[in-house]
Amino acid sequence: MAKDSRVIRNFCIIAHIDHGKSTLADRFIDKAKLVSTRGPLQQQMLDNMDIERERGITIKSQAVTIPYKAHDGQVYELNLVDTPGHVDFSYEVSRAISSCEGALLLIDAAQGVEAQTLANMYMAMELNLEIIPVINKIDLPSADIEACLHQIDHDLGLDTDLTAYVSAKTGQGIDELFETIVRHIPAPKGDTKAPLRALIFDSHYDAYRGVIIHFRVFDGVIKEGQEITFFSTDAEHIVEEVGIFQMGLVRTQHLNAGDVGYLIAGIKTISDIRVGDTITDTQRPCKSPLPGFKEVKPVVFSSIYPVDSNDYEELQEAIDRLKLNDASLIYEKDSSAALGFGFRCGFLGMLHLEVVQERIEREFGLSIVFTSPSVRYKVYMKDGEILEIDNPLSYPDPMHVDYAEEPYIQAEIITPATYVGNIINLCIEKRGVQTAMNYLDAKRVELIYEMPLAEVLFEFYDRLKSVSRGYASFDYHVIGYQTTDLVRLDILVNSEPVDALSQLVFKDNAPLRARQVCQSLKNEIPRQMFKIALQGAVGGTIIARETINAFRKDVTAKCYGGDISRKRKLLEKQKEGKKRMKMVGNVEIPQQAFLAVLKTTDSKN
Amino acid sequence: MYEKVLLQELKAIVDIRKAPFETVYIGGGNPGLASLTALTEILEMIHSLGTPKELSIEMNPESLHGGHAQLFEQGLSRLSIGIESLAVNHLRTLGRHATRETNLRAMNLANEFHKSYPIQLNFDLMTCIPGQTIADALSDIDTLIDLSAPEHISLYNLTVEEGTILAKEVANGTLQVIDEDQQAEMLSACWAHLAQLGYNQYEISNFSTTAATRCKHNERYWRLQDYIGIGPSAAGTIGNIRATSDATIETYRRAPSFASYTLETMDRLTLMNEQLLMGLRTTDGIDKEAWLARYGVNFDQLCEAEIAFLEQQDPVLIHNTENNFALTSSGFMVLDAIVLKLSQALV
Ligand SMILES: Nc1nc2c(ncn2[C@@H]2O[C@H](COP(=O)(O)OP(=O)(O)O)[C@@H](O)[C@H]2O)c(=O)[nH]1
Ligand SMILES: [Mg+2]
Repeated sequence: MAKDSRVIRNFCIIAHIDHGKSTLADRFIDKAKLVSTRGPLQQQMLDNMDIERERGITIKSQAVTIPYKAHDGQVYELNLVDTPGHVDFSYEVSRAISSCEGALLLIDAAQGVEAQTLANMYMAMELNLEIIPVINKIDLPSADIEACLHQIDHDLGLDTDLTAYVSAKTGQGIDELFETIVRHIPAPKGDTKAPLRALIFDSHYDAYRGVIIHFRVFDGVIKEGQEITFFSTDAEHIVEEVGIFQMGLVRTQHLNAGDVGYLIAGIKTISDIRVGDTITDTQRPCKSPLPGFKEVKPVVFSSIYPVDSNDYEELQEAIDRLKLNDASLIYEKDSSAALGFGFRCGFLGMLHLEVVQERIEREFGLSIVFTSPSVRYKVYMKDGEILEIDNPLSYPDPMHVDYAEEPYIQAEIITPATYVGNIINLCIEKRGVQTAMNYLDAKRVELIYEMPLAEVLFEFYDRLKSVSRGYASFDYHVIGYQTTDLVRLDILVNSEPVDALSQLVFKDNAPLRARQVCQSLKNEIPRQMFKIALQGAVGGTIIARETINAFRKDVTAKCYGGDISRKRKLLEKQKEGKKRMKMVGNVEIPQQAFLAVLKTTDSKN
Repeated sequence: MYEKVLLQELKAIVDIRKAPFETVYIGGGNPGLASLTALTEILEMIHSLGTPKELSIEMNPESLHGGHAQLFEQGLSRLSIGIESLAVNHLRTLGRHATRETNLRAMNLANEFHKSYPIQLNFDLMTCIPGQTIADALSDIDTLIDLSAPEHISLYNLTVEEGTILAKEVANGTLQVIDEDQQAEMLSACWAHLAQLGYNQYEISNFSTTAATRCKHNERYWRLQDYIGIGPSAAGTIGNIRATSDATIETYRRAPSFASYTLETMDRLTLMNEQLLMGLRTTDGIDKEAWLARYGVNFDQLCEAEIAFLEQQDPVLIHNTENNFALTSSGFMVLDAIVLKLSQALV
């Protein structure tokens, strides 16, 4: 039974973090639940992972089909495509958005427009989506609807007449919003008779069924038994199952142009598919793929080591398992004199790195150490060779290096005008170059900076929040490479370099970084029988130094007949503990010291 | 008190034993609280096997009284008193009941006994007490020697042991321990002072006027020789068997007969660890010949890398001769780290 695509509405919700995207999605799902026969729902059911729920950040896109009987008596099929809520995943966001005809631009009535509101809106506009402004949290006493309307008109240039007023929390205004969606978001256009053209906007891994692709059909029809081809890889598969997302997967056997749903095609790992790729019919392929596909490349790199070297195999298994459901996580074997065997990993950003770290620790119960995160540099050698380097250990002899380049981002910051001075100072310190400064209104300013990505990894977000008392919001995207003055900072313990602590840094930042590392090592390495020199060095030059004095006294006062057993057991325990220390020359370094040093990087941005 | 049970236990041992005890130490807690009758009975039982080479009793100062004289008549040869300090505030910090006055009184009384009987005296002193200065510590030593000229002094540096009241006070900030560098200075100052006054350090915390006045009983522990212990939570070692009493004071008192003992058979590695732990506490150190005979390995070869490491350190920590491996004064100061280091060679 072919359904009329005129009753379909494909839309997404875009918003700055915490403006209520997940809560609003819940209200939509409540609606879907009314017509569902399945069991009870979890809170914010679109956020499936524990970590997503805890952090309130959506990491993976999800989708759900909601049947809605509108005031005109017609039953519509509303496809809500939820999008990741973090800049690390902005490519995934763009693919999810491009599966839709419309976007609800959610604005917190008490906060107003923020950096990600703008960034997301521009993305939706570029993809020609119909944008419906939605003012959320109108139940809050601090809601300032007038100011929001002014911003919608003035900053965003959107039609205020279309604005919906809702409280995702209480459900107020939701029915009206449904009507607005039905009336203003266009039905999908698309030719059911044309060759199949469908967009993969996400996927997930199911232990029993393998990879489940989330996709949107633009042209043609997809049905079970059909032979399909992925454009970017030329891989061919037979469709095993097709269906839509409701409370779980609901098999429909086929989907038409305009539909959003899932398919299963015997694909074993998520790395075999690419978000943004086009699915077509093998026998009758479309001429060109859907626009916008790109290979996502990791931008942050770090090595992961097990705290206990015996856990290497468990770590391998954990990463393999994560990789099943996370195509953007890349890794290869790595080894360090100080930390043993581990994995060099690439991440989409710091949040992505932290999510991986938390999942390894939580879901697999492993204690791990991450080395200092690094961006990927382009190193131009005198002999004309160009090296891409993200691991300090691969940095070549500076003698042979002509120059280096590092990745830059464009940062968009929106802040109350009061904090502009502080923020400009911070950006200057972080080597930022201002490219624009716009007064959004009398009280709020948008600052646009170009700055090195590496600077954003180190304390930027926390500092931004602290200098603006939490009011500034921030969004960024990578714009390309620029020349930099790069050095490798080495950390020496009693003149022995500790490879796992080396970092690639901007030359002028080296002394400060070196001091920070030496100080945190000093705090974490216990006194030993001899004096320990901690040094930061660039090339042969020492740029920071700390000393841990030899301990002066380490002696048990009493030991007689009744004490022997206890003292011996204590000795045996200490001996065991020594095994977990890393030896650098004669110096024993507790694992905690590595953790502390590497903790000096930023988090949560 | 649990005297009755203790006497039963001792009697059982005496009944099956033929040779006299080499040394006896009546200690642990405060035997000064035991009745004279019980103590007399204990001494009689011990002597029924013959006269030990050393027969010590320890007491808290406030418990010592003139009536104890009769014990010396019965062959008690050594009296040890836990003076700890002569400053009332330091005594309070240590949770002691004694005051400066009780301590002085006990020292004078001990002195009287010393004059009347052929006994040796020991006093325990504590250093590195929070609030204590080097001058305080040295003055305690001087007063002690002036008043009673004991043959033996045990000088301990305060160790905050996990689970004690002291540890709790340190953790919650009511008590501030002396920092490590100052502790080292105080301890060296005391050691030097005692040496100057004719007290030779023969173990980390033990000093005697001559080789003959060392505590023979404790020397057995440090040499890992056999000993038996009775009473609540007492321990004994015969060969490679360690027996530890599971009884607390409460259960011991109620026990109709003997306390229950946990027996542990110690393997070679365990014994070697203990030998290091105990032997390195003494100036005699490890007797290499005895080590080879007992464990079948050459000590220098076994610990070659660790000894080489220790030899590189400044100041000089070890004194390694053909027959003995011992620590210097600087080595004593970091004994625990050296033991840990050397024990890593034992596998
Ligand atoms: N008072 C009020 N709070 C809301 C409303 N919508 C969301 N919130 C709260 O705002 C916070 C962020 O919401 P969430 O849906 O996780 O935001 P997201 O980051 O955009 O997904 C949560 O504490 C919600 O309970 C609303 O309409 N009214
Ligand atoms: Mg969310």
